[in-house]
Order: sequence, then structure tokens, then C-alpha cells
Amino acid sequence: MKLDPAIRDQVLATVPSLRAFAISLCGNVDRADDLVQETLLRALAHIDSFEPGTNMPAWLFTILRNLFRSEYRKRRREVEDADGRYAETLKSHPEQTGRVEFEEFRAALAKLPSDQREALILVGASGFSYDDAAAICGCAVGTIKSRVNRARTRLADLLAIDSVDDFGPDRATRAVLAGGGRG
Amino acid sequence: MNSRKTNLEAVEPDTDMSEPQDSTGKRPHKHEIRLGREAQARIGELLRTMYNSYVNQGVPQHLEDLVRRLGEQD
Repeated sequence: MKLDPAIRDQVLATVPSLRAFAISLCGNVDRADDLVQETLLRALAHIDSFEPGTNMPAWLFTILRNLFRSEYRKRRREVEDADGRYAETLKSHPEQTGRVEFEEFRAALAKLPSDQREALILVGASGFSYDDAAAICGCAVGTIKSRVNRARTRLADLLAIDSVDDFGPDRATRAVLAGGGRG
Repeated sequence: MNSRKTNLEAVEPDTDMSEPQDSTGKRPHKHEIRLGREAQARIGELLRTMYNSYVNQGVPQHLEDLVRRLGEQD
């Protein structure tokens, strides 16, 4: 069946973001491109199951996410230090910027559990709603919110960004203690 | 996709620093750690900068060719 040019253009328009999602997930550009290629092959082989007018990016992201998860589980059995490999491949790729801050951010992102990482990327970078992200990940909206919140908190901790609510009691307590220490 | 607003800044219970209550009037769970607005903004900025650097790399030619070739098959 020949592909409707409008559908084809929707697929092509989604590829840059789909690829960015893949790189963000697995931290390796070559592996990400393989993942995107496999996603596109599957999507186009099953294009009849896509309903025109519905969310093409969400459909493609769902396929890629599921492929990544099944591959991740497979690799997890083969390679125990998956997160270490993630950080290393990010560092070594020549297209990465050399700025220390972003390297630190990528390294911190690599330390997140994969379910938190994917939720944060989908909502915070790919531009999906919480509802769409929940559909892509096959979980409840509340679960996505919780994962995003935990991801942000963990990143703030790893990056030493002031992470506690500015008006929280812990902050006030720390201020009192700090003031007392100087006197 | 690229121009779509992301949702990290969306109004949520854990982003409201002015009142310790959510939109339903309930207090948030005590075990949830809440980030300050500035910390959230900084993390969002770093995340989007990283992601957009990948988006801006464009589409590798072999992937574009793949879609076009498969799209032409009968």
C-alpha cells in the first residue's frame, strides 16, 4: 500500500524529536539511530493501525519507547552497569558540547531510573501532556506526575541545585542554625 | 514539536510555593519533597537545552530515505 503523502510528512516531521527522545533515553547516538530506524520500520509496516487525525508523535513515541524497554531489559541481563555505559557514551560522543554544566546534567540524567528519565523527558522536553505521557508509558497520569517529581528532585540533589521548597520549615530551620553558627 | 510548550511549568500542587495546598484544597502528601520554583526552572532549562541540541541535529539522510522509500512501496 502506498503511503499517504500527508501521513508520510507527519512521520518525517516527528523524526527529529523522536530521535532526540531516543538519544536522551539511551545516551548513544548510533544506538538511538538504530532504535529510530526500527521504530520507523515497525510504524510503516503497521501504518493501517494508525488512525488519521490522531496524535502521530504519541503513536511513534509509544513504539520507540516499547522497543527501548524490551531492548533495555535484554541488555540489562547482559550488562549490569547499564547506567555507567550510558554516562560514558554521552561523554565520548564528539557532537556533545564541552560545557561542564551540561556534561554534569547528562551524567545526572543517566543516574535516574529509566522510568523517571523517560517521564521527565516526555513531559519536560518533548512537550507531551501528562495524559499523553501516561498513554505512551502505559501507566496512570498520577504515576507520571510522581515520576516527574521524583526525577526533578533527584536531579536537583545530584546537581546541588537548591532543591527544598524555599518556604519550607527545613529551610527556615537551616537558616536559624546557620545564623546561630556565625554568632 | 519543537515549539510546543512543555509541561514542567504547568500549575501543579508541587509548583505552588505561595500556599501549601493544591487546587482541591487538600494539603500535599507530607512525604513528597517539593522543589522551589527556581530549581524547577533551572532543571527544565538544562533539560530543554540538551534535548533541543539533539533535535537541531536534524534527520540523518538514511532515515529520511527510509521513510520516503517505504512510503513509495505498493
